[in-house]
Amino acid sequence: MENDGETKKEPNMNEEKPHDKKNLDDVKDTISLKIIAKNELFEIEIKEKTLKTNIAKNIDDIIHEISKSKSFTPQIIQKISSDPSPNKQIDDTIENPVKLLAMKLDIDTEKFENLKIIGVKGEAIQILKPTKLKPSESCYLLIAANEYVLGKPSIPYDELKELCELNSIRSKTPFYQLIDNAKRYGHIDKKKYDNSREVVLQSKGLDLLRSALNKAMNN
Amino acid sequence: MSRIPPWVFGLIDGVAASNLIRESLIEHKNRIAFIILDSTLEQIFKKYITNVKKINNVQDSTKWEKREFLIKLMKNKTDFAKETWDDVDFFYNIRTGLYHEESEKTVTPSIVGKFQELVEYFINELFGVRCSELIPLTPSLMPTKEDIELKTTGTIPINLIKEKINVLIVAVAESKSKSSAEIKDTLRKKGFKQKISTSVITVYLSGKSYQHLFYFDDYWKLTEEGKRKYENIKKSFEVENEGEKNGK
Repeated sequence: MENDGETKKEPNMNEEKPHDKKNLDDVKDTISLKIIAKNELFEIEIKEKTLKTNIAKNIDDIIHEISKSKSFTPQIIQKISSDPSPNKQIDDTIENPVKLLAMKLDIDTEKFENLKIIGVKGEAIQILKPTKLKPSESCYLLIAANEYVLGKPSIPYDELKELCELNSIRSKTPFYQLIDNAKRYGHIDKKKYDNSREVVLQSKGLDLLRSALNKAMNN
Repeated sequence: MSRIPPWVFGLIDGVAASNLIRESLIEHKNRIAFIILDSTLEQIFKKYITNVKKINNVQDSTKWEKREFLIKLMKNKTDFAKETWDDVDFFYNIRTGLYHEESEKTVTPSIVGKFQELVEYFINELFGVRCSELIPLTPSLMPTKEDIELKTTGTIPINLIKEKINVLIVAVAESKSKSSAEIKDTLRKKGFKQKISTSVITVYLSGKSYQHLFYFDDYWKLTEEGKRKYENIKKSFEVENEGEKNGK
């Protein structure tokens, strides 16, 4: 790969590197923060699961605001934030989009991550090993990642087709046949697709994907 | 996407013509588009056999005119699934009806849509092209007079660029976009007419195929190779512009 020697390149999705701040910030999660003043303490309540970086940024902003108040005591904030988190494992999973996807699919998070079949970088989901699964299964993985990682409830047919092509998911049949079959077997929501050409995985499709991934992970 | 073989452009134009007709107000547009696609499919098979497989010694040239012969030859030379060939037969039977029966007969938008996808699929698979990466020619996306006039001002007319990757190169070169959403916004400000999602933009920027053209350092930038491509895009419009001036 050629590159400008004077500048640094963004990490390659194929390389095993920790996700950078930008990637995590790109994930669109809603966050609900509440500050409650109790005597001399400020209690911060986080209502939705979200990425640590998002929480940190929001908390920093809040602290900045609070610091304008005369009653602000940095030590107290420090004390609260240093409490051991009972949900550390969940936080780590949320922090890692691949693990988050595994958790949502109800498959082994470690094995799935080690399989290195999918990479997530900001809003880009990339199938790293398109031949590891059948074309339909790789396609279902893209749909699932679109829903569970990017939080998009459905994906337009044309966008899915283009993403499959960009991810080198190649089949011996045209793409419309793959979707027609998915519809026929109840793997995707038929009504939704017929009404709006938007694709949503159904439980049967998720079952098939889960079973394919389990098989790939155990091979 | 690698270099597009020269004989593929005519085939892609067949798909573009079908797009134009399908979006028109012509009453029997689906019938006409279907016939154009059928002719394109026949050309695809012939181009593949002669230009890729280098088979030119078909003794009885009249055989070329027979679709059954062409399809049989293609089946032998490729490994597409049976379902794909079943669809080729299915659409061929429809085509025969459209050719030989009354001109009032037409087909549904869904059928012609699928047939077009089948034709695009064969172009992609047989010639290593991705039709979706090329800008589809449809009435709503047709370049306007303003787009064409942009050439004379030295600005790259974004709607006259034919490949999506080149559109993104221009957007990255001419902005300091920090995210795919900002690139999308840049394209909108430049008057780009085609729909492109942020997910697709991100895959273009970071995916295996084109990641050698872009990198991120505070904002999205072009690598040296990306810059060379940008210069080539600029030059292509300058040359075109000069040619037009000289023509006058």
